[in-house]
Amino acid sequence: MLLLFIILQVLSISMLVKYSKSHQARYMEYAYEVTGTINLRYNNFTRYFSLAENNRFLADENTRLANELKQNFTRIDTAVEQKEIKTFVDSTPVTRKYLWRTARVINNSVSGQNNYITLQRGRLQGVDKDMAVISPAGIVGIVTDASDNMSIVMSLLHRKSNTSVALKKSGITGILEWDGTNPQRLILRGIPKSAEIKKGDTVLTSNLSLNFPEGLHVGTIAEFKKEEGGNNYMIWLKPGANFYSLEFVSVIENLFLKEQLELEQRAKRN
Amino acid sequence: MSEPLKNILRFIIFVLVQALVLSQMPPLHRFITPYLYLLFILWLPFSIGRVGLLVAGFLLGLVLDFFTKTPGLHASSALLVAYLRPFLITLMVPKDTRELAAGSPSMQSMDTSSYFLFAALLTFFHHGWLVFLEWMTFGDFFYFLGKVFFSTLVSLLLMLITELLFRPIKSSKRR
Repeated sequence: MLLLFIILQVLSISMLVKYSKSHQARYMEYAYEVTGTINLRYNNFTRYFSLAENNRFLADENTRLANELKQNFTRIDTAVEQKEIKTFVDSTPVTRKYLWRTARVINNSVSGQNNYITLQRGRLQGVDKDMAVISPAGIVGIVTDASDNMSIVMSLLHRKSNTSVALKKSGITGILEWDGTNPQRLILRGIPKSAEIKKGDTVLTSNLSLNFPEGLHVGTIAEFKKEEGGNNYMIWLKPGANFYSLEFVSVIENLFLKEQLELEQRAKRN
Repeated sequence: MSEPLKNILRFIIFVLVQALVLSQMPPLHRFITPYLYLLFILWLPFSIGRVGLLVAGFLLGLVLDFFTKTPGLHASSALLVAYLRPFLITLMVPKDTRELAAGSPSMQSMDTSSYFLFAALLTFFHHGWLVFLEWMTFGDFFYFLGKVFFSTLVSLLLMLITELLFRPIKSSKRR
């Protein structure tokens, strides 16, 4: 009896340890498909409760995007005399770096130490490991695993979550983490005391992030204090994304990610 | 309804309630995550063999883990509860009553107070082990203590409500 107990206990703890290291396991992929189907059914029902809020979100997002249309901008003609126009033709073609896809959230938790989000979009629909996930109000997390039709996102509310972000004002970069206690407070480390910050400052994704495009909204500074015996501030951030009610998110693929990683690996080896 | 069928239904309902409602509920406070699913293990009949009990506990936890994406976490904790249950029953229920009561642990088959203690101890061990596993890599001891204590309280309250709703105490006449 004790033996069976010990065997099963060792089995479960080794599963836990292994999974928390890699966030991937073959058997979990089958589990995602099954639990995903159940979650989908449940979500089909519960999403009616948040229709109004989602509508508002979409309207806001639409307005923001419409504001950036070219027609809204004009050039005031101040030229007095016609000068010879020298046009430089841009001969380099524009290359797409990020590809956005929408996905529906079918399961989401905020109550654990390590929170994951399930999306109803998987490998067959173009979502794979290491892609960035954002909601209209702020970044959400990174895809850690995908099966054929589902994918798993490590939320920012995860003790191993680790994102490079920057202050909007000064562009100083830091690392965003979470300590597993309060879902309304993310932790921003690595901002030197020389930086000028105040409550309410906006924090965006930095240009150093591998997964996220630069300049996406992350959150606002809620509190901060100077680290004792350190060079840095200890900053608590209020996340922009509302983790309690995620419905639709965008999954962003960095098309250069593989190339960049390979190049950096090669540089390290040499 | 036959006993095995009843338990299979309970298994499904407890897992779904825990995974879809309680684990998704925004935390009341950072200390509190209520767990109701281990009531399934508590309600299993006295007659179940110890091997069956261990396997049932392990499977219950594992299925829940597939929902919460923490393979092994709940399995390990539920397994602990399943392992400890027989010891507590032996301690708390006098032998003759246990033979008389063909059913399962409840407020009638055991004393109300001893049933409560039985549930409280198992919940406490479950939460202690679960939070300990979650915080293995971290060292905030007071957070650990607080979370175990308050989560146990809230879980117990929830379990008591479930108990009274679904297994009301029948008057002694009918027994």
